[in-house]
Amino acid sequence: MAQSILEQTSFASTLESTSTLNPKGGGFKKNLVQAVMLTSLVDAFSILVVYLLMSYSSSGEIMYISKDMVLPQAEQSDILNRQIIIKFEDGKYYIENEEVPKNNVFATLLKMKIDFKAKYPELDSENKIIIQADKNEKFIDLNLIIHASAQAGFEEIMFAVVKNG
Amino acid sequence: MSKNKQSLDFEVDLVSFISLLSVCICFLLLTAVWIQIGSINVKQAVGGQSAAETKKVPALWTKMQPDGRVVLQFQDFPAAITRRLGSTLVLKGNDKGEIDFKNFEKKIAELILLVPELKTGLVMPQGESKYENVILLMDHMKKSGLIDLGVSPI
Repeated sequence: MAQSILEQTSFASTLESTSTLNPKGGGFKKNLVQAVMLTSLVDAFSILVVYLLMSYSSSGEIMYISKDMVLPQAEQSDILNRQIIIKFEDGKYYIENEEVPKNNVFATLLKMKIDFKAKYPELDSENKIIIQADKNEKFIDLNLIIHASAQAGFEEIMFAVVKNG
Repeated sequence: MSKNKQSLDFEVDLVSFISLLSVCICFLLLTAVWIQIGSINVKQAVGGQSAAETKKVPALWTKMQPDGRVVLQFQDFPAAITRRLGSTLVLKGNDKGEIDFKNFEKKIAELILLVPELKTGLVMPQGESKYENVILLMDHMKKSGLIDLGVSPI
């Protein structure tokens, strides 16, 4: 008669049955086949899945952060959504990951504003811009972006930060 | 009778379930976001609307100084408050010449208690101000209850 896995594992202790001096729970032949307790494994997997689901992002990768760039930290941050990204790194300005000369930031932003609305009509683009810079940068370097974005008609600035807490 | 009992003893096939969970874990591990990126949203403090269009609401200007001092300037505050406190308040930096964020947050909370309609905070950094400090200042302002933030270009 075929025994269920529950019957096999619930009454015979693994430690006692493998004892050499006084084996309990059957002969040696039977003891060699050990049933793997799958319940705990399933529990562990379930916990892992729940934890990973919590840190899952459905919005995808919004911005590329290079290895050397450390974003400032903030506790009171909002959710970052897709907007035009202007990055300042190593003394250079990048709009949507394309290097832009310092004196051409305003013109490029103006052009990009029109292109972006045409490219992503589904996005709620309310004249916002994302500024991405290293935490140790001086404000004077970002001042140009703020000036240019104000002139180009961007009413809101989103400073990219790392959520802290 | 005993036959019936045996048929009730049903075993769930866990292997397929484990396989499904494994695939799920692999997918989620690959797509997991380990660094949570957010944003501090601020308005342009200068420009936008004309002076006539702008509503007169109390606003707090925060001028960052190079030595860690922070100058708080009150704009459109009730006359009784400005008579009592003056139009500006200077907050000293800490011993290292950096901004004393704890004291700053405390003062903002006190000001909000005095002027509950105070919701606007405008930051005016210096050219040499560290970007991190500008963000921290705005973060503390938001934490204290100033929800409408703005940044002013130099």
